Amino acid sequence: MMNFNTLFLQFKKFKPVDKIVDFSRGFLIILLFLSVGKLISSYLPFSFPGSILGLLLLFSALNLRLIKVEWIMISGSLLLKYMALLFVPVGVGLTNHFALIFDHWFVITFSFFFTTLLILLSVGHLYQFLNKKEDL
Amino acid sequence: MLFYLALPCTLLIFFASKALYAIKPWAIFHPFLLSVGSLLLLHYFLKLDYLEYARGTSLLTALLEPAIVILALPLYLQLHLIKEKFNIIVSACLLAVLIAFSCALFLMPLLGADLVTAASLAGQHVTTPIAMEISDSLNGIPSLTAAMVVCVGIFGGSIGLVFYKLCGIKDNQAQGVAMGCAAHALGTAKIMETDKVAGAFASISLIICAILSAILMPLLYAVLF
Repeated sequence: MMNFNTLFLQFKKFKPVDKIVDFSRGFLIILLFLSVGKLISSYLPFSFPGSILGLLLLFSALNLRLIKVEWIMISGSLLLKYMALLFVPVGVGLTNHFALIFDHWFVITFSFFFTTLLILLSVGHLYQFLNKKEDL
Repeated sequence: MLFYLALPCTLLIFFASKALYAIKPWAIFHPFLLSVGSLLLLHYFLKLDYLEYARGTSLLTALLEPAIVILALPLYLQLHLIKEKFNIIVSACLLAVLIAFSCALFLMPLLGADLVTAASLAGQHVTTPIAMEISDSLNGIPSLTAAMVVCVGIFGGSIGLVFYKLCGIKDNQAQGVAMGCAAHALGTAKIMETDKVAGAFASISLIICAILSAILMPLLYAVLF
């Protein structure tokens, strides 16, 4: 995705106070976009995740230069770097669903192999075909 | 007691798994799988109460939604690289979303899955936080989806390049896009090691695919079921 190491090396040169300020600013911006997204989604007539709205809003704000990339770079890359940790408690929730998994182990394994290969194959060929057509 | 121990234990196990993965980077040692596996074993053998564990780790779960919002950052950083190919990437991602949805909700019930399992499998090809949102809005089981997402990512990432060679996908942009659609961030990280161009295409297609899935799947589900 992006080079975290060079980013963190730059960040290490900051003074401690600056580090805290920089990090909290980024995190507050992220939370702000999340809450605006959630607010909008609560007014929508259909259910749509507020977090995705927040993503789209933040993306537009970055493109319109309302938000500078540097403002959210450090807190954002930290969150992206340790994202896997955030799902661990959810994954442990599997403990409630062992019976279902044992009942459906065949479907689950099949879907996992079959759909992955099907997507790799068809998307790969579609993109290759469209890309060639565009180059001609 | 478990309430106070849950968070430190989770952190300890996660960073120990990460350290182990750094020494022995085998696919099966992926930090998420390893830490979830060991915590599941702990729950099973010590007969721990999951609800209390979940309350103790609610800090981590609360960060899931900010983690979705921040996906705008890599999308923004990669966008200029691929501007002229944007249309074909979106069409390729659309195909991937439709395949994932129809395989999960039409094919799997034929093989004997109930609707809850099928709905949990629909989001297995997009990045975990969004996959869980999708699973939740289709009445699936988010924790099953999260585990499937990681397995799919590991499988796609490790088989991808060999599979491409077998079925004649030579265009490195196509390789990247297909990887991003099928195996999200884990596949992307893998393909990034060998090919930076493919990696950039993979990281953008994984986010576009996730956004499209989040928009289309609940809509299709509401119309069809």
